[in-house]
Amino acid sequence: MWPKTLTAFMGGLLLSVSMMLSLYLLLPIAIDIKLLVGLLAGFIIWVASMIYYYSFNSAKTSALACGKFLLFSVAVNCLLFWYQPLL
Amino acid sequence: MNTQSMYATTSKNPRSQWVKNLTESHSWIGVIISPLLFVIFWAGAVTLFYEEVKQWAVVPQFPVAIEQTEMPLQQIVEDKLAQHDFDYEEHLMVQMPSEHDPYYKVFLDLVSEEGMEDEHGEVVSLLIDPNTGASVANRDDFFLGDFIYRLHYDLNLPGGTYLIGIISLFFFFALVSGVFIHAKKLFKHFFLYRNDKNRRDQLLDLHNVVGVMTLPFTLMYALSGLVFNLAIVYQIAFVVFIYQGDQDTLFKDAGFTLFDEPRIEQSIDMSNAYTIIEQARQQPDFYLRNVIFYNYGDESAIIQLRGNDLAHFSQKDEFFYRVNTGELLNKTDIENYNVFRKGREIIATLHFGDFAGVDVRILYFILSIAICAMIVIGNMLWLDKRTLQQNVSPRSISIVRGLTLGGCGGLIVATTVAFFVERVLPASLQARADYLVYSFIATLVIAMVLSYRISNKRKYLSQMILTSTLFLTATLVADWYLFASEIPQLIQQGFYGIIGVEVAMLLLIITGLLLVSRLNHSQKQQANVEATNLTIA
Repeated sequence: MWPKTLTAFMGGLLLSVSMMLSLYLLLPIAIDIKLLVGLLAGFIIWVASMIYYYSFNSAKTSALACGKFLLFSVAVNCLLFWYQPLL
Repeated sequence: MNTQSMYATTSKNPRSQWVKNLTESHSWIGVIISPLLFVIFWAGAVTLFYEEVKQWAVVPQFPVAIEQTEMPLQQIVEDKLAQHDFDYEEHLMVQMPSEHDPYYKVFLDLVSEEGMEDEHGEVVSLLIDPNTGASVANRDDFFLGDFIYRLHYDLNLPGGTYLIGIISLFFFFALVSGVFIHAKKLFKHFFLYRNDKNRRDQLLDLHNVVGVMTLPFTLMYALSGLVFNLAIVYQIAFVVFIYQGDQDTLFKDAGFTLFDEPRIEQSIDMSNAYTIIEQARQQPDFYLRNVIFYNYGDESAIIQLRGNDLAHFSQKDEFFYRVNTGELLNKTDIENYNVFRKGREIIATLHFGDFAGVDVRILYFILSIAICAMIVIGNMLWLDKRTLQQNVSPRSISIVRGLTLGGCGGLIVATTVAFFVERVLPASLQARADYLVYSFIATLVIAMVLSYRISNKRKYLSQMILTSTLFLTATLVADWYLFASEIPQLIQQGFYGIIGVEVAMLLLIITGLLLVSRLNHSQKQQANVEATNLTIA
């Protein structure tokens, strides 16, 4: 259970940070609202991803799922950062 | 530690396997976080009455005649500045008297000692009689309320804030996973409590019923706990990726105004500041909580006034004035607010339950105690299940049993000891707060050690409850022995917090005695059954 916990905690944290930054770049709302939405959504995404990672049978499959999601989210984030001036 | 499912069923389809995995995680994480989660909820339940506890601890020691005329605030502040080696580069804060707390509290940052100029100087926090202007004590001498409050949010440990944040995160996980596990029966078995079933079913029903009924409350607590204790994670992410390292701009966008002007070193009379403060105090529907002075006595002096708008829900107002000109530099009120800051304030208001009368806080208290019971029941379920399994180490079971009984029960005994110590220690005693902390820790440690040594756990639980009731009774007796003349006068003056705390103690004593009597009765019944079985054999 400890390896699964490590995956869920760290994977959830990284995914939530990445998705929160994407939200920040995508949402067309005032900056103070973005900060509040980002903060609350960040924690909710963190816990939701923990639920997802813990639902796997083993730490290995959980880590693989975590890696896939993270790579996808980081890729989206990179695109958003590069094309930020166009948005 | 073995992680077999508590609810384990043979799972053939992926969905039930998914639920099984979540159930394993729920019970495993629940057991691991349970001791600290209990501390958070127990200390949080007591902290709901922080102001009352503080009033009970301090006001009888230094009664204040509220009908007398108050000394002007300027005279009080300038007397304290003359008496202490204040560092004028730092700010000075004055906390205003309130209906619960009749004293001014002045916080002064002193000049660093020689040879330690690079370090921040000592901060003194003075409790000041508003009529005489005399410093009656240091604010931290009466540490009970703050000690329990800090236990709630950082365990009185360095870095404890983040630890509590992580516990909140896993608590949030336990809640959501609990909803998934219980989803099918969430509405059907909403109030189900099978009194006629075996002990395990009864415990499970109790765990589920409390969990479901307190769900909105617990979700709010988990999320708000995260916002208070772990927001640093996202703050760092924002500063690094969005603000390119500019933290000040992030704070500004989040609605936190910062004034960091250097001193000009030209003296001015500060009377204008006190005129502004007095005007703010006279405003209807506004309670001025505190005032912060920047660059005191200098031409660049600024004052920050913070208070509550009593006409609107969770509205905290803030005003910045330049003292020399009286110019309003910045304001936050119902018409000018930042959504992030306002949202955070609403979360705080919901968390502390201070948006209505004492009745709401009593409801919060009952819910918090119910959650404490849910935590203990969760551990009992885990222990019952594991005790029957052959492949679980007795050491794991012993550790969890000791932590559950000695940790959770010991915390309650330690709290009652802390109340007793707060009441009986002389107000003038040096390092008074330290004795309170030592007594609390010593009691907790003794309770935990004994929980591993005493084999009859039921009897030990009964003894712990009895000890708590004895300490509470001794505290009540000490209250009336030491302050027999002061307490009735203070109640007449409207300090109802003192009698409120005493009534709460009395109710807890009665509840404790009823529990002890019930535990002893069931123990006798059990002994009789065992004796009958032996006779038959």
